[in-house]
Amino acid sequence: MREKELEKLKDYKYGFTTDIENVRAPKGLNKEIIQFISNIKKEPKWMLEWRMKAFNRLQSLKEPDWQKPKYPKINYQDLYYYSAPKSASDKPKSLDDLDPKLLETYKKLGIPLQEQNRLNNIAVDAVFDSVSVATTFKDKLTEKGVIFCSMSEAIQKHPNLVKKYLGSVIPITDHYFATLNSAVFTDGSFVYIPKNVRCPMELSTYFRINASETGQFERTLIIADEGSYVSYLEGCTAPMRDENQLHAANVELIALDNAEIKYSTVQNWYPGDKDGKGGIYNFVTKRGACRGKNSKISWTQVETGSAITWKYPSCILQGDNSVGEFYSIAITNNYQKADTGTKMIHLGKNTKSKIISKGISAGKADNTYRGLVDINSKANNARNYTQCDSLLIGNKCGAHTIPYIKNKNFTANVEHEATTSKINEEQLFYCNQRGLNQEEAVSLIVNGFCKEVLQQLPMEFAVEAQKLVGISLEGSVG
Amino acid sequence: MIEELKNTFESFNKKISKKDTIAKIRSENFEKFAQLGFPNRKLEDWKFSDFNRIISNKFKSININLEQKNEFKFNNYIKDFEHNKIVFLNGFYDNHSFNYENEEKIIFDNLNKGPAYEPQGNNSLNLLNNAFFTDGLLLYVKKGYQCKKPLVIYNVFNTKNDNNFFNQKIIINVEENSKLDLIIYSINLNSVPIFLNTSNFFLVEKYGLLKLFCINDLNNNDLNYNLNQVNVTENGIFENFILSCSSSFFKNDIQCILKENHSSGFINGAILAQDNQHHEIKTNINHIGQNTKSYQKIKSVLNKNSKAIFQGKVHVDSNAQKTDGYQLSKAIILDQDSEFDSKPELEIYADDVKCTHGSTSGSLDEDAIFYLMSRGLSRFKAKKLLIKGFLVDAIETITNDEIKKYYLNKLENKINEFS
Repeated sequence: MREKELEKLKDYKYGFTTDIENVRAPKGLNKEIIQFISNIKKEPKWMLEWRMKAFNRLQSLKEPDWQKPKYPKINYQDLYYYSAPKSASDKPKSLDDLDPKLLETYKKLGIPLQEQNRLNNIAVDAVFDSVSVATTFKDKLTEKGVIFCSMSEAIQKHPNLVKKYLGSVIPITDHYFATLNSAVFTDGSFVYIPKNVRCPMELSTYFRINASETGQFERTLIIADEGSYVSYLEGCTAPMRDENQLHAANVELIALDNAEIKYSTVQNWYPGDKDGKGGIYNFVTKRGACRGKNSKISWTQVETGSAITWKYPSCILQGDNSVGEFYSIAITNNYQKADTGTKMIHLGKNTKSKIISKGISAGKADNTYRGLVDINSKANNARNYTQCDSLLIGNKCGAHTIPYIKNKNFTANVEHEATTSKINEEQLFYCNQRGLNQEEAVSLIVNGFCKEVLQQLPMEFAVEAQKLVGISLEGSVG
Repeated sequence: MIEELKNTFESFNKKISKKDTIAKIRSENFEKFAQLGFPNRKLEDWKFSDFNRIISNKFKSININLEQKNEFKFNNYIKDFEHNKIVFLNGFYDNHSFNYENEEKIIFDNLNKGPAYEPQGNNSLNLLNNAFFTDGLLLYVKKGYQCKKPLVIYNVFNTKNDNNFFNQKIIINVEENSKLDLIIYSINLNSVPIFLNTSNFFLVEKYGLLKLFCINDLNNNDLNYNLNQVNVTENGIFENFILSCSSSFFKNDIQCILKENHSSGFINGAILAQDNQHHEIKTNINHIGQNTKSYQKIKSVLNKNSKAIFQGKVHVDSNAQKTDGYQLSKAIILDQDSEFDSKPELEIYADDVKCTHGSTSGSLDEDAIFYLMSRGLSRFKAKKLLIKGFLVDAIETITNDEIKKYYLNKLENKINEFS
């Protein structure tokens, strides 16, 4: 018995739960709950009105069903929409005030907040269940004028910025899950980089779902003002539970003239067990707007977790000469399903986009790349290059590529190519012959296959991601 | 429009169906169609072509007149090579000649006496065809017989305003070890706009070979939807070439099932769209057997406010190991009002496969134009030469030399019309 449990733990090392008292709103999705969330966060009136508008809009929307991975219907009334560690209800002033158990959790996750303060040059905002619990490195950032705080804090302290930009990329009238998020989002990160500032360190958020029957709805808003630069990292984990949990976040990026945002995600939510029981439904809306001239937004994602991943980090290239990039690795094993890709919408002149997507499918998993490249009639000299490669391990999994390409401009140049194949037997044989066992060999080859994307990750993440690639494929061969 | 069509259908069904059972099946088809309506962009298969809007814009009313008789004298529209022919006039069988073949080895019948086809699937235009088809062709090439000359099915229209809607079916069975080169040629002699809706079915048996060519000489106000369903069995080969350069709306929908081991399907095409035309090639290749092969190459040139679409899908079943799938779509857009959309799709459930696809769109290469101009060609001539070179690449895939030559001539003429 104990052995079995240990085995289970080996599979998903973030599968622990932390015994922390939670403050929860009652189950259900209704006006009272939204009022409750808004009250407990002491939000101003305009925010509540904004939420209500989204909620009203939600009533007329239908849950989309065109995606490839189908899932049993979610009962939205049977979810908790607010869950916060109790100690956070009067928010800790410094890290020393944090609940020690919380700190312990983050240590297990590999983000020792205190050490981070001194050692790594990374500022961390940690979001536990739905509430931001700690933000490190504040002083150094404030010095430069960078605002890096939780969303709730931003609503209180920087209402003008929030009012101006929140919902400007993902409007509350967007699709079902985005609108749901707009109505009930509880927290998230807020970043503002002032004009001509190069953010001195990597900013990072760690998301963790701890409580059961909880949906996590966080909202991230990043604004890079003229001539600024920021690199932002996001990581996520959740405990192992038999039920499916919903995670519907919204991420909005805004890059003004000459600004650059680099957004990296290592997503490792609990993927469910070997038989496909449990796991997170990761239905996330991520969208960036290159508003200004010469702006650039770059998405990098390593998707190894979640029972179902369904997201399309997109770029709206409005400013002339703006650049959008998308680098993705999606690994699915066992019964995991992923339907992910990007949308590149070219509106401005001389806009450029690049899409590199690597899908790896093993076990009984299904992996879909779905993307849109849309060249508007005014986007003269727009350029797009797309490359999607898929790797299949075993004959019970699936790999699909569904690109939509629309070109309305005769000076634009659009290229798309994709390949699907299995792991080369000769490469495997070569590795085996050099003394690597089957599993190590597969991990090595897959890492090589993903190299183009892994290179895009900041150093600290790249190491973790490489390990993740190996772990995710464990048990898929032999 | 659907309401109006309903009245048309009721009087049509009374006249055409000799038996109650047939009338009933036709009505079932129509009812299912009426529920679905004309396809619109909410459907994934019609995402880039809103047929409902196109037909409402182009057609004030849809009429069928079964009594209409028009003067007609057939002349050979294809003079470049010797061929056998079957002629249909305004949707009905007219005459045939199999001068080059052993007539015992080719069996054919027209479909105007029935039978009826049960409603199947959700393709509303196919259901509409089942409800309305007037005539068609059922043809067998007997076991072991290799046709010496190509067979041309002429589809000639010379109608008046009260007859503008035609539905046709061609069903062809190429039996074991036999071979057929088939050309479906549609031409509209009058200026009355027509809507031609065809639904064809082909079966290629063991070691059989079917080469199918579509030539569309309809007018610039005509609408044409072609559904080709193809089943290929062991070691069978299906080859298809489409030159799409006429009709206001032309959609060629090919569903090819490579059912058994070692079967292969080749689908190539060239689109030359101009003057507000809207052309689409949609393919769906389903690899079921092992060691199957598919190859698609589609080249498009768009000019003067036209729109072209390529939707291609390669589906590989979990049993279809050793599949080889290739798909390439390239497009050149010549003016600022044209649009090219593509959706090259791979859906793969087997691991030991080799599948690639590519899709590009862009403008003519300025360096190449410059080079040709430096050699003394005018800019206009240089452009024409490059366009021709670009499209000829697709035509080169045709394996019948006579037909390839015919296509090259046709393309040349079309490009010369360019201004």
